[in-house]
Amino acid sequence: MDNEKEQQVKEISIKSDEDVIFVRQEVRNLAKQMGLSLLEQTRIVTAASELGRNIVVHAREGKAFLIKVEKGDRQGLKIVFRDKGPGIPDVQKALEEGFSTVGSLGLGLPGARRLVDDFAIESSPLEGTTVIIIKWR
Amino acid sequence: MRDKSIFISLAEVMKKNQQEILKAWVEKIMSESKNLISVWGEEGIKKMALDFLDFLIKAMPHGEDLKIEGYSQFRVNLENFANESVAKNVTPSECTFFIFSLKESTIPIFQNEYKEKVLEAISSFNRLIDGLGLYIFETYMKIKENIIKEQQKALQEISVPVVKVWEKILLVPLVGMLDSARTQLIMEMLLSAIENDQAKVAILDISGIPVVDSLVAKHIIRTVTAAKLMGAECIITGIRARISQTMVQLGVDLGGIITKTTLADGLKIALDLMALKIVGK
Amino acid sequence: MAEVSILMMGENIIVPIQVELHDRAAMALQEDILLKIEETGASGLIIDVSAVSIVDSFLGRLLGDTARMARLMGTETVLVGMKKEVVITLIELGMIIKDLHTALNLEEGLKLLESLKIERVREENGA
Repeated sequence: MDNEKEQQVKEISIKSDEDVIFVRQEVRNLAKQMGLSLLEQTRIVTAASELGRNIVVHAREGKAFLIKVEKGDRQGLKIVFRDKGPGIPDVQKALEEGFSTVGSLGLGLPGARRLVDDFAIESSPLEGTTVIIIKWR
Repeated sequence: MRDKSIFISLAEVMKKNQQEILKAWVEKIMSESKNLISVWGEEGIKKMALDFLDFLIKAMPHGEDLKIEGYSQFRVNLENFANESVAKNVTPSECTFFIFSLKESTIPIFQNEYKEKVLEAISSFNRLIDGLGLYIFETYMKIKENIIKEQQKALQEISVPVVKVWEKILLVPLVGMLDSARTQLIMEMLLSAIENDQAKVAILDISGIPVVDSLVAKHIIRTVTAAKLMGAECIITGIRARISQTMVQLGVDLGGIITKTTLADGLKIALDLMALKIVGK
Repeated sequence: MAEVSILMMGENIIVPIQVELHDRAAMALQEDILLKIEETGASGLIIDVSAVSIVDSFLGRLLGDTARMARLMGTETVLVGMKKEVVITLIELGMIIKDLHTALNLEEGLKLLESLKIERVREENGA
Protein backbone atom coordinates (compact mmCIF):
# COMPACT_ATOMS: atom_id res chain seq x y z
CA MET A 1 0.00 0.00 0.00
CA ASP A 2 2.61 2.49 -1.16
CA ASN A 3 0.95 5.72 -2.05
CA GLU A 4 2.98 8.00 -4.28
CA LYS A 5 2.37 11.70 -4.08
CA GLU A 6 3.89 14.44 -6.16
CA GLN A 7 3.81 18.15 -5.67
CA GLN A 8 5.38 20.43 -8.24
CA VAL A 9 7.23 23.24 -6.53
CA LYS A 10 8.74 25.18 -9.40
CA GLU A 11 9.12 25.34 -13.14
CA ILE A 12 12.27 27.01 -14.43
CA SER A 13 13.04 28.02 -17.97
CA ILE A 14 16.63 27.28 -19.02
CA LYS A 15 18.08 29.32 -21.85
CA SER A 16 21.45 30.53 -20.65
CA ASP A 17 24.30 30.02 -18.24
CA GLU A 18 22.68 32.34 -15.74
CA ASP A 19 19.53 30.21 -15.77
CA VAL A 20 21.63 27.21 -14.77
CA ILE A 21 22.86 29.14 -11.75
CA PHE A 22 19.27 29.96 -10.90
CA VAL A 23 18.33 26.28 -11.13
CA ARG A 24 21.19 25.45 -8.78
CA GLN A 25 20.05 27.99 -6.24
CA GLU A 26 16.44 26.83 -6.35
CA VAL A 27 17.40 23.17 -6.08
CA ARG A 28 19.64 23.97 -3.14
CA ASN A 29 16.89 25.89 -1.38
CA LEU A 30 14.39 23.11 -1.86
CA ALA A 31 16.89 20.45 -0.80
CA LYS A 32 17.74 22.40 2.33
CA GLN A 33 14.09 22.93 3.10
CA MET A 34 13.46 19.20 2.73
CA GLY A 35 16.15 18.46 5.27
CA LEU A 36 18.75 16.85 3.03
CA SER A 37 22.25 16.79 4.55
CA LEU A 38 24.87 19.20 3.24
CA LEU A 39 26.55 16.38 1.33
CA GLU A 40 23.28 15.31 -0.26
CA GLN A 41 22.48 18.91 -1.14
CA THR A 42 25.87 19.27 -2.83
CA ARG A 43 25.30 16.08 -4.79
CA ILE A 44 21.92 16.90 -6.19
CA VAL A 45 22.77 20.50 -6.97
CA THR A 46 25.90 19.36 -8.81
CA ALA A 47 23.86 16.80 -10.76
CA ALA A 48 21.34 19.50 -11.61
CA SER A 49 24.18 21.73 -12.79
CA GLU A 50 25.43 19.04 -15.16
CA LEU A 51 21.99 18.36 -16.59
CA GLY A 52 21.04 22.01 -16.83
CA ARG A 53 24.24 22.69 -18.70
CA ASN A 54 23.47 19.89 -21.15
CA ILE A 55 20.29 21.70 -22.07
CA VAL A 56 22.05 25.01 -22.68
CA VAL A 57 24.89 23.44 -24.63
CA HIS A 58 23.02 20.87 -26.71
CA ALA A 59 19.40 21.96 -26.92
CA ARG A 60 19.73 25.70 -26.40
CA GLU A 61 16.57 25.83 -24.35
CA GLY A 62 14.49 23.67 -22.08
CA LYS A 63 12.83 23.48 -18.71
CA ALA A 64 13.51 22.12 -15.26
CA PHE A 65 10.66 21.03 -13.00
CA LEU A 66 11.33 20.81 -9.26
CA ILE A 67 9.02 18.34 -7.58
CA LYS A 68 8.53 17.06 -4.05
CA VAL A 69 7.71 13.35 -4.01
CA GLU A 70 6.43 11.09 -1.28
CA LYS A 71 6.48 7.32 -1.51
CA GLY A 72 5.02 5.69 1.55
CA ASP A 73 7.27 6.93 4.31
CA ARG A 74 10.01 8.35 2.16
CA GLN A 75 10.37 11.89 0.95
CA GLY A 76 12.33 12.77 -2.14
CA LEU A 77 13.39 15.64 -4.36
CA LYS A 78 12.66 14.98 -8.01
CA ILE A 79 13.86 17.11 -10.88
CA VAL A 80 12.72 16.69 -14.47
CA PHE A 81 14.88 18.22 -17.20
CA ARG A 82 13.06 18.50 -20.50
CA ASP A 83 14.12 19.92 -23.82
CA LYS A 84 13.03 19.71 -27.45
CA GLY A 85 16.57 19.53 -28.76
CA PRO A 86 18.17 17.19 -31.28
CA GLY A 87 18.15 14.29 -28.82
CA ILE A 88 21.01 11.95 -27.94
CA PRO A 89 21.64 9.52 -30.81
CA ASP A 90 22.93 6.66 -28.66
CA VAL A 91 21.69 6.95 -25.09
CA GLN A 92 23.34 3.71 -24.01
CA LYS A 93 26.74 4.93 -25.12
CA ALA A 94 26.21 8.34 -23.56
CA LEU A 95 25.69 6.64 -20.23
CA GLU A 96 29.00 4.88 -20.49
CA GLU A 97 32.15 6.35 -19.10
CA GLY A 98 33.93 8.93 -21.18
CA PHE A 99 31.57 9.33 -24.10
CA SER A 100 30.94 12.83 -25.44
CA THR A 101 30.17 14.78 -28.55
CA VAL A 102 31.34 18.28 -27.91
CA GLY A 103 34.97 17.66 -27.10
CA SER A 104 34.39 17.71 -23.37
CA LEU A 105 35.22 14.69 -21.32
CA GLY A 106 31.67 13.37 -21.23
CA LEU A 107 31.30 13.43 -17.49
CA GLY A 108 27.81 14.85 -17.69
CA LEU A 109 25.42 11.90 -17.71
CA PRO A 110 27.30 9.09 -15.99
CA GLY A 111 28.58 11.48 -13.34
CA ALA A 112 25.15 12.94 -12.67
CA ARG A 113 23.72 9.45 -12.45
CA ARG A 114 26.20 8.45 -9.75
CA LEU A 115 25.25 11.43 -7.65
CA VAL A 116 21.54 10.64 -7.40
CA ASP A 117 19.43 7.71 -6.26
CA ASP A 118 17.02 7.32 -9.17
CA PHE A 119 17.88 8.23 -12.74
CA ALA A 120 15.87 7.85 -15.94
CA ILE A 121 16.42 9.22 -19.43
CA GLU A 122 14.46 9.25 -22.67
CA SER A 123 15.72 10.80 -25.83
CA SER A 124 14.78 10.94 -29.51
CA PRO A 125 15.26 13.43 -32.36
CA LEU A 126 11.50 13.97 -32.51
CA GLU A 127 10.67 14.36 -28.86
CA GLY A 128 13.88 15.81 -27.53
CA THR A 129 15.37 14.70 -24.24
CA THR A 130 13.89 14.15 -20.81
CA VAL A 131 16.04 13.33 -17.80
CA ILE A 132 14.50 12.54 -14.43
CA ILE A 133 16.54 12.41 -11.22
CA ILE A 134 15.43 11.73 -7.67
CA LYS A 135 17.29 12.07 -4.39
CA TRP A 136 15.58 10.46 -1.42
CA ARG A 137 15.94 11.71 2.11
CA MET B 1 -17.71 12.40 3.96
CA ARG B 2 -19.24 10.37 6.75
CA ASP B 3 -21.91 11.88 8.94
CA LYS B 4 -20.34 13.50 12.01
CA SER B 5 -23.52 13.86 14.03
CA ILE B 6 -23.19 10.43 15.63
CA PHE B 7 -19.79 11.46 16.99
CA ILE B 8 -21.17 14.65 18.43
CA SER B 9 -23.76 12.62 20.31
CA LEU B 10 -21.18 10.01 21.32
CA ALA B 11 -19.00 12.75 22.77
CA GLU B 12 -21.94 14.04 24.82
CA VAL B 13 -22.80 10.56 26.08
CA MET B 14 -19.21 9.91 27.05
CA LYS B 15 -18.90 13.21 28.82
CA LYS B 16 -22.05 12.48 30.79
CA ASN B 17 -20.73 9.06 31.83
CA GLN B 18 -17.07 9.94 31.98
CA GLN B 19 -16.40 8.74 35.52
CA GLU B 20 -18.04 5.37 34.96
CA ILE B 21 -16.23 4.78 31.68
CA LEU B 22 -12.92 5.75 33.24
CA LYS B 23 -13.44 3.32 36.10
CA ALA B 24 -14.36 0.41 33.81
CA TRP B 25 -11.47 1.15 31.50
CA VAL B 26 -8.82 1.33 34.19
CA GLU B 27 -10.18 -1.86 35.79
CA LYS B 28 -9.89 -3.68 32.49
CA ILE B 29 -6.31 -2.56 31.99
CA MET B 30 -5.35 -3.50 35.53
CA SER B 31 -6.79 -6.97 35.22
CA GLU B 32 -5.39 -7.80 31.80
CA SER B 33 -2.08 -6.04 31.36
CA LYS B 34 0.43 -6.67 34.10
CA ASN B 35 3.23 -5.08 32.15
CA LEU B 36 1.50 -1.75 31.68
CA ILE B 37 0.98 -1.58 35.42
CA SER B 38 4.52 -2.53 36.26
CA VAL B 39 5.82 0.15 33.89
CA TRP B 40 3.55 3.03 34.86
CA GLY B 41 2.09 2.03 38.17
CA GLU B 42 -1.57 2.18 39.14
CA GLU B 43 -1.59 5.93 39.59
CA GLY B 44 0.21 6.44 36.31
CA ILE B 45 -2.32 4.35 34.41
CA LYS B 46 -5.21 6.21 36.03
CA LYS B 47 -3.76 9.58 35.09
CA MET B 48 -3.04 8.54 31.50
CA ALA B 49 -6.53 7.16 31.06
CA LEU B 50 -8.03 10.33 32.55
CA ASP B 51 -6.08 12.56 30.17
CA PHE B 52 -6.86 10.35 27.19
CA LEU B 53 -10.57 10.44 27.84
CA ASP B 54 -10.49 14.22 28.22
CA PHE B 55 -8.68 14.68 24.92
CA LEU B 56 -10.83 12.13 23.16
CA ILE B 57 -14.11 13.65 24.27
CA LYS B 58 -12.90 17.07 23.20
CA ALA B 59 -11.79 15.86 19.78
CA MET B 60 -14.59 13.44 18.98
CA PRO B 61 -17.18 15.94 17.71
CA HIS B 62 -14.86 16.49 14.76
CA GLY B 63 -15.63 13.04 13.43
CA GLU B 64 -13.39 10.08 12.72
CA ASP B 65 -10.78 11.58 10.42
CA LEU B 66 -7.65 11.71 12.59
CA LYS B 67 -5.77 13.87 10.14
CA ILE B 68 -7.79 17.02 10.67
CA GLU B 69 -6.86 19.97 12.84
CA GLY B 70 -9.32 19.10 15.60
CA TYR B 71 -7.34 15.98 16.42
CA SER B 72 -3.91 17.58 16.39
CA GLN B 73 -3.67 17.98 20.16
CA PHE B 74 -4.79 14.43 20.70
CA ARG B 75 -2.30 13.16 18.15
CA VAL B 76 0.50 14.81 20.10
CA ASN B 77 -0.78 13.09 23.20
CA LEU B 78 -0.77 9.73 21.39
CA GLU B 79 2.71 10.32 20.05
CA ASN B 80 4.04 11.03 23.53
CA PHE B 81 2.46 7.82 24.73
CA ALA B 82 4.09 5.88 21.89
CA ASN B 83 7.43 7.55 22.63
CA GLU B 84 7.31 6.64 26.28
CA SER B 85 6.24 3.12 25.45
CA VAL B 86 9.23 2.61 23.19
CA ALA B 87 11.54 4.11 25.79
CA LYS B 88 10.15 1.89 28.53
CA ASN B 89 10.21 -1.27 26.40
CA VAL B 90 6.46 -1.76 26.30
CA THR B 91 5.55 -3.97 23.34
CA PRO B 92 3.52 -2.50 20.46
CA SER B 93 0.58 -4.77 21.27
CA GLU B 94 0.52 -3.71 24.90
CA CYS B 95 0.66 -0.15 23.70
CA THR B 96 -2.34 -0.55 21.43
CA PHE B 97 -4.16 -2.70 23.99
CA PHE B 98 -4.32 0.42 26.12
CA ILE B 99 -6.50 2.05 23.47
CA PHE B 100 -8.46 -0.97 22.32
CA SER B 101 -9.54 -1.89 25.83
CA LEU B 102 -11.62 1.29 25.84
CA LYS B 103 -14.04 -0.35 23.40
CA GLU B 104 -15.37 -2.94 25.84
CA SER B 105 -15.60 -0.43 28.66
CA THR B 106 -18.05 1.73 26.75
CA ILE B 107 -20.46 -0.92 25.45
CA PRO B 108 -22.67 -1.14 28.54
CA ILE B 109 -22.96 2.66 28.63
CA PHE B 110 -23.93 2.94 24.97
CA GLN B 111 -26.42 0.11 25.34
CA ASN B 112 -28.04 2.07 28.11
CA GLU B 113 -28.08 5.47 26.43
CA TYR B 114 -28.96 4.53 22.88
CA LYS B 115 -32.14 2.69 21.93
CA GLU B 116 -32.56 2.08 18.19
CA LYS B 117 -29.28 3.69 17.26
CA VAL B 118 -27.17 1.51 19.58
CA LEU B 119 -25.60 -0.51 16.71
CA GLU B 120 -24.64 2.60 14.81
CA ALA B 121 -23.21 4.16 17.98
CA ILE B 122 -21.12 1.16 18.94
CA SER B 123 -19.80 0.49 15.44
CA SER B 124 -18.92 4.16 14.84
CA PHE B 125 -17.12 4.39 18.15
CA ASN B 126 -15.24 1.16 17.51
CA ARG B 127 -14.15 2.42 14.10
CA LEU B 128 -12.73 5.51 15.74
CA ILE B 129 -10.91 3.51 18.42
CA ASP B 130 -9.55 1.13 15.79
CA GLY B 131 -8.20 4.13 13.90
CA LEU B 132 -6.55 5.46 17.03
CA GLY B 133 -5.04 2.06 17.83
CA LEU B 134 -3.57 1.78 14.34
CA TYR B 135 -2.21 5.27 14.54
CA ILE B 136 -0.44 4.48 17.79
CA PHE B 137 0.93 1.27 16.37
CA GLU B 138 2.35 2.97 13.30
CA THR B 139 3.81 5.79 15.35
CA TYR B 140 5.43 3.26 17.66
CA MET B 141 7.01 1.43 14.72
CA LYS B 142 8.32 4.64 13.19
CA ILE B 143 9.94 5.65 16.45
CA LYS B 144 11.54 2.23 16.84
CA GLU B 145 12.86 2.32 13.29
CA ASN B 146 14.44 5.70 13.83
CA ILE B 147 16.17 4.52 16.96
CA ILE B 148 17.58 1.51 15.17
CA LYS B 149 18.81 3.69 12.34
CA GLU B 150 20.56 6.00 14.77
CA GLN B 151 22.19 3.10 16.56
CA GLN B 152 23.42 1.66 13.29
CA LYS B 153 24.89 4.98 12.36
CA ALA B 154 26.62 5.28 15.71
CA LEU B 155 28.04 1.78 15.38
CA GLN B 156 29.32 2.54 11.93
CA GLU B 157 31.05 5.64 13.11
CA ILE B 158 32.74 3.83 15.97
CA SER B 159 34.04 1.31 13.51
CA VAL B 160 35.90 4.08 11.71
CA PRO B 161 38.13 5.69 14.28
CA VAL B 162 40.32 8.47 13.01
CA VAL B 163 43.15 9.01 15.43
CA LYS B 164 45.47 11.96 15.71
CA VAL B 165 48.89 10.43 16.33
CA TRP B 166 50.91 13.60 16.04
CA GLU B 167 50.52 17.24 15.26
CA LYS B 168 48.82 17.27 11.84
CA ILE B 169 49.25 13.53 11.34
CA LEU B 170 46.18 11.30 11.33
CA LEU B 171 45.92 7.54 11.50
CA VAL B 172 42.96 5.62 10.09
CA PRO B 173 43.04 1.91 10.93
CA LEU B 174 40.80 0.28 8.34
CA VAL B 175 39.25 -2.92 9.58
CA GLY B 176 36.93 -5.41 7.95
CA MET B 177 35.31 -5.46 4.54
CA LEU B 178 35.53 -2.30 2.52
CA ASP B 179 32.44 -1.71 0.41
CA SER B 180 31.32 1.55 -1.16
CA ALA B 181 29.02 2.44 1.74
CA ARG B 182 31.81 2.06 4.29
CA THR B 183 34.28 3.84 2.06
CA GLN B 184 31.84 6.69 1.86
CA LEU B 185 31.68 6.88 5.64
CA ILE B 186 35.45 6.62 5.99
CA MET B 187 35.93 9.38 3.44
CA GLU B 188 33.53 11.67 5.25
CA MET B 189 35.13 11.06 8.62
CA LEU B 190 38.66 11.39 7.31
CA LEU B 191 37.91 14.63 5.48
CA SER B 192 36.19 16.09 8.54
CA ALA B 193 39.20 15.17 10.65
CA ILE B 194 41.59 16.72 8.13
CA GLU B 195 39.54 19.88 8.22
CA ASN B 196 39.28 20.01 12.00
CA ASP B 197 42.90 19.15 12.77
CA GLN B 198 44.37 20.89 9.74
CA ALA B 199 46.18 17.62 9.15
CA LYS B 200 48.86 17.38 6.49
CA VAL B 201 49.36 13.62 6.49
CA ALA B 202 46.92 10.72 6.79
CA ILE B 203 48.19 7.20 7.41
CA LEU B 204 45.75 4.54 6.22
CA ASP B 205 46.54 1.23 7.86
CA ILE B 206 45.04 -1.68 5.98
CA SER B 207 46.39 -4.60 8.00
CA GLY B 208 42.85 -5.22 9.24
CA ILE B 209 41.42 -5.67 5.76
CA PRO B 210 41.27 -9.38 4.89
CA VAL B 211 41.09 -9.09 1.12
CA VAL B 212 42.49 -6.40 -1.12
CA ASP B 213 41.21 -6.99 -4.64
CA SER B 214 40.82 -4.44 -7.42
CA LEU B 215 37.49 -3.22 -6.09
CA VAL B 216 38.85 -2.66 -2.59
CA ALA B 217 41.91 -1.01 -4.08
CA LYS B 218 39.61 1.34 -6.00
CA HIS B 219 37.96 2.38 -2.75
CA ILE B 220 41.31 2.93 -1.10
CA ILE B 221 42.52 5.02 -4.02
CA ARG B 222 39.36 7.14 -3.92
CA THR B 223 39.93 7.82 -0.26
CA VAL B 224 43.53 8.80 -0.91
CA THR B 225 42.43 11.09 -3.76
CA ALA B 226 39.87 12.72 -1.51
CA ALA B 227 42.47 13.43 1.18
CA LYS B 228 44.82 14.83 -1.45
CA LEU B 229 42.18 17.22 -2.75
CA MET B 230 41.98 18.60 0.74
CA GLY B 231 45.68 19.12 0.82
CA ALA B 232 46.74 16.10 2.87
CA GLU B 233 49.26 13.49 1.79
CA CYS B 234 48.42 9.83 2.31
CA ILE B 235 50.58 6.91 3.31
CA ILE B 236 49.32 3.35 3.25
CA THR B 237 50.70 0.96 5.83
CA GLY B 238 49.98 -2.62 6.76
CA ILE B 239 50.76 -4.22 3.42
CA ARG B 240 51.89 -7.66 4.42
CA ALA B 241 53.39 -10.41 2.28
CA ARG B 242 50.14 -12.00 1.25
CA ILE B 243 48.44 -8.73 0.35
CA SER B 244 51.41 -7.58 -1.72
CA GLN B 245 51.27 -10.88 -3.63
CA THR B 246 47.55 -10.58 -4.33
CA MET B 247 47.81 -6.98 -5.40
CA VAL B 248 50.61 -7.55 -7.88
CA GLN B 249 49.03 -10.72 -9.24
CA LEU B 250 45.73 -8.91 -9.76
CA GLY B 251 47.54 -6.00 -11.33
CA VAL B 252 46.35 -3.56 -8.73
CA ASP B 253 48.15 -0.28 -9.25
CA LEU B 254 48.24 2.09 -6.32
CA GLY B 255 49.82 4.76 -8.47
CA GLY B 256 52.24 7.04 -6.69
CA ILE B 257 50.94 6.42 -3.20
CA ILE B 258 53.62 5.78 -0.62
CA THR B 259 53.22 2.38 0.98
CA LYS B 260 54.91 0.65 3.89
CA THR B 261 54.50 -2.51 5.88
CA THR B 262 54.74 -1.37 9.46
CA LEU B 263 53.02 1.49 11.12
CA ALA B 264 56.35 2.65 12.53
CA ASP B 265 57.81 3.06 9.05
CA GLY B 266 54.71 4.89 7.95
CA LEU B 267 55.00 7.26 10.87
CA LYS B 268 58.64 7.92 10.09
CA ILE B 269 57.76 8.89 6.52
CA ALA B 270 54.95 11.08 7.81
CA LEU B 271 57.29 12.90 10.15
CA ASP B 272 59.81 13.31 7.35
CA LEU B 273 57.13 14.80 5.19
CA MET B 274 56.48 17.27 7.93
CA ALA B 275 60.23 17.78 8.25
CA LEU B 276 60.38 16.63 11.84
CA LYS B 277 62.60 13.98 13.29
CA ILE B 278 62.37 11.80 16.35
CA VAL B 279 65.71 12.04 18.03
CA GLY B 280 66.83 9.07 20.09
CA LYS B 281 67.94 9.63 23.66
CA MET C 1 33.83 41.22 -16.25
CA ALA C 2 35.54 41.34 -12.89
CA GLU C 3 33.11 40.09 -10.27
CA VAL C 4 35.99 38.10 -8.88
CA SER C 5 38.90 40.14 -7.59
CA ILE C 6 42.43 39.18 -8.51
CA LEU C 7 44.88 40.27 -5.84
CA MET C 8 48.64 40.47 -5.71
CA MET C 9 50.58 39.43 -2.65
CA GLY C 10 54.31 39.69 -3.18
CA GLU C 11 55.13 37.42 -6.06
CA ASN C 12 51.87 35.56 -5.85
CA ILE C 13 48.46 36.08 -7.35
CA ILE C 14 45.54 35.35 -5.05
CA VAL C 15 42.09 34.73 -6.48
CA PRO C 16 39.33 34.26 -3.93
CA ILE C 17 36.20 32.98 -5.65
CA GLN C 18 33.31 34.30 -3.64
CA VAL C 19 30.39 34.20 -6.05
CA GLU C 20 28.65 31.45 -7.96
CA LEU C 21 30.28 31.40 -11.37
CA HIS C 22 28.32 30.47 -14.40
CA ASP C 23 30.26 28.95 -17.28
CA ARG C 24 30.95 32.14 -19.22
CA ALA C 25 32.03 33.99 -16.09
CA ALA C 26 34.40 31.14 -15.22
CA MET C 27 35.99 31.27 -18.66
CA ALA C 28 36.36 35.03 -18.41
CA LEU C 29 38.03 34.59 -15.03
CA GLN C 30 40.51 32.16 -16.50
CA GLU C 31 41.44 34.69 -19.13
CA ASP C 32 41.80 37.45 -16.57
CA ILE C 33 44.06 35.29 -14.44
CA LEU C 34 46.32 34.36 -17.32
CA LEU C 35 46.56 37.97 -18.44
CA LYS C 36 47.51 38.96 -14.92
CA ILE C 37 50.28 36.36 -14.90
CA GLU C 38 51.55 37.74 -18.17
CA GLU C 39 51.41 41.26 -16.82
CA THR C 40 53.13 40.57 -13.49
CA GLY C 41 55.26 37.49 -14.10
CA ALA C 42 53.96 36.06 -10.84
CA SER C 43 55.63 32.84 -9.72
CA GLY C 44 52.65 31.56 -7.76
CA LEU C 45 48.89 31.46 -8.10
CA ILE C 46 46.46 30.67 -5.34
CA ILE C 47 42.85 29.98 -6.15
CA ASP C 48 40.75 30.07 -2.99
CA VAL C 49 37.60 28.00 -3.31
CA SER C 50 36.64 27.99 0.35
CA ALA C 51 33.47 29.91 -0.46
CA VAL C 52 32.52 27.70 -3.39
CA SER C 53 29.83 25.21 -2.57
CA ILE C 54 29.40 23.62 -5.99
CA VAL C 55 32.17 22.49 -8.29
CA ASP C 56 30.76 20.60 -11.24
CA SER C 57 32.64 18.98 -14.10
CA PHE C 58 32.93 22.23 -16.03
CA LEU C 59 34.44 24.22 -13.19
CA GLY C 60 36.61 21.29 -12.14
CA ARG C 61 38.01 21.01 -15.62
CA LEU C 62 38.47 24.74 -15.88
CA LEU C 63 40.46 24.87 -12.65
CA GLY C 64 42.69 22.04 -13.80
CA ASP C 65 43.20 23.66 -17.19
CA THR C 66 44.01 27.01 -15.59
CA ALA C 67 46.72 25.39 -13.48
CA ARG C 68 48.23 23.72 -16.52
CA MET C 69 48.11 26.94 -18.52
CA ALA C 70 49.69 28.81 -15.65
CA ARG C 71 52.47 26.27 -15.39
CA LEU C 72 53.28 26.75 -19.08
CA MET C 73 53.79 30.37 -18.19
CA GLY C 74 56.08 29.41 -15.33
CA THR C 75 53.57 29.81 -12.52
CA GLU C 76 52.71 27.14 -9.94
CA THR C 77 49.09 26.93 -8.83
CA VAL C 78 47.66 25.85 -5.49
CA LEU C 79 43.97 25.30 -4.96
CA VAL C 80 43.02 26.05 -1.38
CA GLY C 81 40.06 25.49 0.89
CA MET C 82 38.05 22.91 -0.99
CA LYS C 83 35.01 21.93 1.05
CA LYS C 84 34.81 18.26 1.92
CA GLU C 85 31.34 17.94 0.38
CA VAL C 86 32.78 19.30 -2.86
CA VAL C 87 35.70 16.86 -2.67
CA ILE C 88 33.46 13.86 -2.20
CA THR C 89 31.15 14.97 -5.00
CA LEU C 90 34.01 15.59 -7.42
CA ILE C 91 35.34 12.10 -6.83
CA GLU C 92 31.93 10.60 -7.41
CA LEU C 93 31.61 12.68 -10.55
CA GLY C 94 34.72 10.86 -11.69
CA MET C 95 36.87 13.94 -11.95
CA ILE C 96 40.56 13.39 -11.70
CA ILE C 97 42.18 16.77 -11.36
CA LYS C 98 45.74 15.93 -12.17
CA ASP C 99 48.82 17.96 -11.43
CA LEU C 100 46.93 20.29 -9.21
CA HIS C 101 48.45 21.20 -5.88
CA THR C 102 46.03 21.64 -3.05
CA ALA C 103 46.13 22.97 0.47
CA LEU C 104 43.72 23.31 3.32
CA ASN C 105 43.82 27.09 3.54
CA LEU C 106 45.55 30.23 2.34
CA GLU C 107 48.35 30.00 4.89
CA GLU C 108 49.21 26.44 3.95
CA GLY C 109 48.88 27.32 0.29
CA LEU C 110 51.44 30.10 0.56
CA LYS C 111 53.83 27.78 2.44
CA LEU C 112 53.41 25.21 -0.31
CA LEU C 113 54.14 27.78 -3.00
CA GLU C 114 57.31 28.73 -1.14
CA SER C 115 58.57 25.16 -0.96
CA LEU C 116 57.66 24.59 -4.61
CA LYS C 117 59.65 27.64 -5.55
CA ILE C 118 62.68 26.47 -3.59
CA GLU C 119 62.46 23.09 -5.25
CA ARG C 120 62.22 24.61 -8.68
CA VAL C 121 65.25 26.78 -8.08
CA ARG C 122 67.17 23.71 -6.96
CA GLU C 123 66.11 21.85 -10.10
CA GLU C 124 67.08 24.68 -12.36
CA ASN C 125 70.49 24.86 -10.72
CA GLY C 126 71.03 21.22 -11.55
CA ALA C 127 70.80 19.75 -8.06
